Amino acid sequence: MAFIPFGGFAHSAEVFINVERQRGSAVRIAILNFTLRNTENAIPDIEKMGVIAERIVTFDLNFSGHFEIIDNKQMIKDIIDKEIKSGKTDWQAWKDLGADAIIYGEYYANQNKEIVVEGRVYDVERKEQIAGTKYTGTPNVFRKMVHRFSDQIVYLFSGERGIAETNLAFTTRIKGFKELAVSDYDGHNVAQLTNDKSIVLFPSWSPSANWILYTTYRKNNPDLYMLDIEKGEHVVISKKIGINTSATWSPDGKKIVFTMSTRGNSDLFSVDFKGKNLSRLTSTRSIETSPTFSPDGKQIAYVSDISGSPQIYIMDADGNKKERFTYIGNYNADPSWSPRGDMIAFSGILDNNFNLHVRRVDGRFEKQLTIYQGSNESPTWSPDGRHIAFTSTRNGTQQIFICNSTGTNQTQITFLNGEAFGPAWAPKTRD
Amino acid sequence: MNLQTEPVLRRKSPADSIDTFIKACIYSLSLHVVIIIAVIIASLFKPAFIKKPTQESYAVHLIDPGPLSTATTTLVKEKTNRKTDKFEAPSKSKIPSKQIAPVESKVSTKTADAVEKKSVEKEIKKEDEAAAAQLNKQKTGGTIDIKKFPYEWYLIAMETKIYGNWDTLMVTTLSSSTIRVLIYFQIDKNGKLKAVKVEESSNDEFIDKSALEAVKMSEPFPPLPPGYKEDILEVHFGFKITSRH
Repeated sequence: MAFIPFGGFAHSAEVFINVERQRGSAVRIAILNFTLRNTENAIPDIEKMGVIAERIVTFDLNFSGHFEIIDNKQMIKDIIDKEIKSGKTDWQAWKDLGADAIIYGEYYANQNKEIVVEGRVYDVERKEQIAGTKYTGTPNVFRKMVHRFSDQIVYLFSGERGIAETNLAFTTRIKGFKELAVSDYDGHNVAQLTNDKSIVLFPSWSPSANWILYTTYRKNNPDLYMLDIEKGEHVVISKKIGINTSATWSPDGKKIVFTMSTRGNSDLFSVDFKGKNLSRLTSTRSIETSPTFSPDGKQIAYVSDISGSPQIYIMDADGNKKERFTYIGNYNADPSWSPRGDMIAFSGILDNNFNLHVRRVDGRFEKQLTIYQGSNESPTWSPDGRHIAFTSTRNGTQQIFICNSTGTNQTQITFLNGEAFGPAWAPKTRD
Repeated sequence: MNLQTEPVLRRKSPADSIDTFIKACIYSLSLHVVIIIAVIIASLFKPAFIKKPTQESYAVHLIDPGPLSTATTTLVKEKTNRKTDKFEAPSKSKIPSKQIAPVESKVSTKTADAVEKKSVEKEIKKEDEAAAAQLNKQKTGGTIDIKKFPYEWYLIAMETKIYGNWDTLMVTTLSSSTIRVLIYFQIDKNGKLKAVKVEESSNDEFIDKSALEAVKMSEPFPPLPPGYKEDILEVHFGFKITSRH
């Protein structure tokens, strides 16, 4: 025997994964329409929710990047029709379709006018249920319940927390003003957060996702405020005359780093979350802005035009050891450090348009994610570090898009009459 | 004599259907009138709920997309045969009434552990020498021993993850022929990596390291399948690099 198990585990199975084995695809899943189990307790439009649930799960799982979704709806329908006739599950048909797993749900309204969703995941090979969860909630959280089911499927197949329940904050134009808004990660459930009748910019979530920092011209000066989302309270962090803008939280939530101007020149400063203990991080004659922390909190990437053009630099969190990070192109801005720590996303000008890039922090790899699709800027990472949200003008107005960190699956998620731009992805699901 | 009687339905005469048609017309007309009057009255009052929500009508404070207190999560028991019929009578007996607290961080782990399974994996006895030798043979032959771990989906998910994390930027250009590395590791119930090491080296430090890193970066792995009753899974994972030259 080649191996003695470490640590004296008595029971285990061994698998040998051959090098030639790789199938070249992720787990293939078939997602079925959710079935309304009964109509005893009527809720308006309950019949339509099955299709909506199927769409939500399909969007979530497809976007997660962990799966290959079987999108042959006709074949799926044919199998289901046959199953209805015969009254039993045709496992062989699902296997022939190429499915490794089936996602299926039933739902109904209970006596409290709540919706109950029972989601199940089946192993086609073994003809058995892998997981099953029942979700109960009021109709207004129906989408959230289904998103949670999606995240559980993601966890089941990847061991990682999904992002389907996360939120995005961004600026949107309402009645000619720019206000702060929040939505689900898929662009649904948009809600307005400020009513300043002014210009509100640069949202940044606290690590707990309970507060959002933003800059507002409410009092005719770009001041830095913090919004307590639960209470709806807006607190001043910095309102020095001049600019107080583009703030970011340290990953431990203790510090806020932002751009402030002194004698007309912008530099980076840090304060605690009460706006006290101001300390200066940069002191140059050039402009320093757009700070973003590394997930370990030890470094900050930011933009400086000290070289003559805006470029991205990295320094220690205390302001020491400044090093230039970008060299290609003469305008690189909007850095966003991946929660995994290995990448920085940013936007750079090419042919008069901004385009998204990701670059490894060690510089070994860089990729341009967008090209010839309008202007693409303000990247922000999903908490799992697998996705990026950004602003794009490719369809006319500024709207929010999301994509994988490799640039695939670029999907428009906001379709607002006013524009939507400058997204900030919440670092975790709000509890 | 065996006489059978059965009722015969009265045939509808044309006069009947004309009568029904006229009645239907009258009912329909009166219903329309009532609805139109109702709509006119409703529009006079302009109640708030009829007003079409516009973007401007959002409240200033956050409309919480989902207070979690209103959403609860419960486990559901295994149901191997999906009910595909619509409007199926509720199978209440199958749904456990017990509800777990909607603490998010716990939801997934509890689910994985607590879903009841009908088919319990047979207890795996300690491998004897012969079985070990057999496994060793399979290893070199490159086949998979799935008898003890019959969860194909899990293996696919694991492979996809590891290959996805394999940074081949360095190694593909350096290698000159087909090179293999075998990495041994253990996964525990929650998908944590328990032990990892190079089992068969490629004799290339870079390649060994890249393969090792791919496995380490893939943590957490999916939680071991709920039906799998052992504490850990041992994996011998082979990587292959074929030169493009």
